[in-house]
Amino acid sequence: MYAEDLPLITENIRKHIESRAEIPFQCQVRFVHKNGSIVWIFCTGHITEWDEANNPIRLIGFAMDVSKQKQTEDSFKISQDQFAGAFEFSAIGMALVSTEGKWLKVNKQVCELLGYTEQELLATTFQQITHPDDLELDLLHVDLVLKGSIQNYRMEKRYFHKNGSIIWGLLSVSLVRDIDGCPLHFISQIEDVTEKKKIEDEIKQRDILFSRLSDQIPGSLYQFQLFPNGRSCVPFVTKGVWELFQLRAEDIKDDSSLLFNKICKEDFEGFYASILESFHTLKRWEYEFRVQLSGDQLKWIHGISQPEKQPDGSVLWHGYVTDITHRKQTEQELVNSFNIISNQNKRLINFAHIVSHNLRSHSGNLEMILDLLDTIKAKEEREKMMESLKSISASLSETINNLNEVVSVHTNKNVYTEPLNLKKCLEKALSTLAEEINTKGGTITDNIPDDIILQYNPDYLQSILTNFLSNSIKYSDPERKPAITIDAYDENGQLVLRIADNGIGINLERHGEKLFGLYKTFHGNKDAKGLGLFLTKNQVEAMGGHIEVESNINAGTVFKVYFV
Amino acid sequence: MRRNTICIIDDDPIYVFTLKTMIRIHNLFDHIIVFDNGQEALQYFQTSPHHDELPDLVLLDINMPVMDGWEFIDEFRNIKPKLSKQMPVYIVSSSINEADITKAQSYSDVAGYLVKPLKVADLQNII
Repeated sequence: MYAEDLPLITENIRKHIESRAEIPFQCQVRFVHKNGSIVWIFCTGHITEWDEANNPIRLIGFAMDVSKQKQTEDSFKISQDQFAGAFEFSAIGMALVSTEGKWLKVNKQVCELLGYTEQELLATTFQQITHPDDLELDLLHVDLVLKGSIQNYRMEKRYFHKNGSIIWGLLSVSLVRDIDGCPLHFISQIEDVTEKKKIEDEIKQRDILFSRLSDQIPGSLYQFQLFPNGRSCVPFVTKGVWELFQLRAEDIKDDSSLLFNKICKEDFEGFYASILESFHTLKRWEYEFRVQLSGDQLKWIHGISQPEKQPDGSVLWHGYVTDITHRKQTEQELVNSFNIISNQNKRLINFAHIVSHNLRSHSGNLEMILDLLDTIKAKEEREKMMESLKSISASLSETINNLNEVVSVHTNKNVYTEPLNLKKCLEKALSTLAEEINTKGGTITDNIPDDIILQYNPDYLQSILTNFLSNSIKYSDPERKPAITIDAYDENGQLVLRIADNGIGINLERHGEKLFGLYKTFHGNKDAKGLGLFLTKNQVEAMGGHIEVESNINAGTVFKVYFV
Repeated sequence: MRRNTICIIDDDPIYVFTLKTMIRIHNLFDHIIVFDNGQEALQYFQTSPHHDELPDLVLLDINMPVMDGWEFIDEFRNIKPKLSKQMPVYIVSSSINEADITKAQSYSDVAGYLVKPLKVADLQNII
């Protein structure tokens, strides 16, 4: 017999004897088998014969090997313990819940999760601590499971913690039925997903924020991808893509051809080349280009993005495109303004030169004469001086008038115009130069059609015609008689007046600038407009046209005046 | 008798007249030669190589028709070695433009720059 169990059986027999067989003799004790293993023996018996002194004489009993049963018992107990252990110490909340919702058994985790003690929970139902918004759905599921429509259910629901805060739990419920299939109780597992829910919510908020931002900003945020085989696509682009390109995100998600087709032909080459460069150098991409949309709409687009090489050999850019049409227009206006200002500046400098030189010439002469006047006493000489003074005075007036003309040509925004017959005006100009032409024996060939009418300022036109004709005569070649040919025709919608002579020609390389310059007081006092061609050029330009000159030394000069 | 000759190259008749009068009154030169553009002056220098017929001093204007002062100097440089006389050339102009003054100083053949109107003292200093 196993030593530990001996007192057990001894005690059991003693009690049996002392109670005169009232207390039954039965116990389970261990014996040590010859081979060393333990055998559980169930012993029971009864004293059947007593002597006159009440001492037991005969005991009848039997012993049974119950080792197997004991093993089974023990295994069962171990399973139960194990289950109890699993239940109790599970990291997930586990509970047994009655079909009415009463908490029957709860493990430690449920208590920790919900903040109640075991007793508190067992005194309440799950309905009482479920958030009202989730209760309906929960009960619906319970109902379905009880009916047998579904075997189990799973849902995310909110519980109220004892302290009032909200706990999000992932609930899994299944039903235990008895042998006859009647519902016994629910087994519920509750996983704490409060943290997960919080993160989900933050992600959702961030998504909303991103959507709002990307919807509001002008332009589009985008991803662009180029593969080594030349295929390209726009995997992601925000809403602004429609307004920019009249395309939807799905149109260009797998293939950017539709987008490329919208780019202006002249800009596409440079655009694609810049992408390739960024592809190879992995440097930031930035480009400005035009897109042609429906309805003749032309837009300037600015794109900028950062490339990243991908494991598959492609390059993925993350960037931003926006409409800069307005900015470009402003830029263009700025350039135009700058050009205007540059021109004005040039004119101002010219003007300053006139003042500095022409005026000073005359005022200088005046000074010199006045100086001399003091020392010269002879009457005849003094008279000569007086003549000179008159001459200087006239020159000064003239120069100042010329200055006024230069200023007024440019400040006069709304120049008076009237319809003028070009041929008639030319004839008038020729008549004023008749004497000079005759002196030099010149011939004029007038090829102007009779019917050309020009809306122009009469004074300007007269001045222009006179100056050019007079110029041709001035530059005549002494070796031959001057011959001037005048034509008028249309070139690309502009009226052109062409005055060609056979004079000495002008070395345009050397004198080109001076030709329309100011210093040329060729025939100083003879010309009404001493500033010559400078004024003419200004007049033509003030009316919106321009002048072109061609000349060959010793052959002649051709002036072409382009009227608007 | 050796004559003292001045050459004035200028197209402004009033100025020339005034200058001539000034020279005469103050007896600065015996003889005055006048050209109204650089071309004519050059022609004269090239065709009159006689020592006596060449001036001792040249006053040159900048703004003249046909050939202006700058062009004259460029051409003058070329013919200078062939001339039988050293002639100091002074640029005389009413321009007080910095650019013109600096340009004049950059020419080594230009002896100086005078600003119109000329005073007697200016001439006396350079004789």
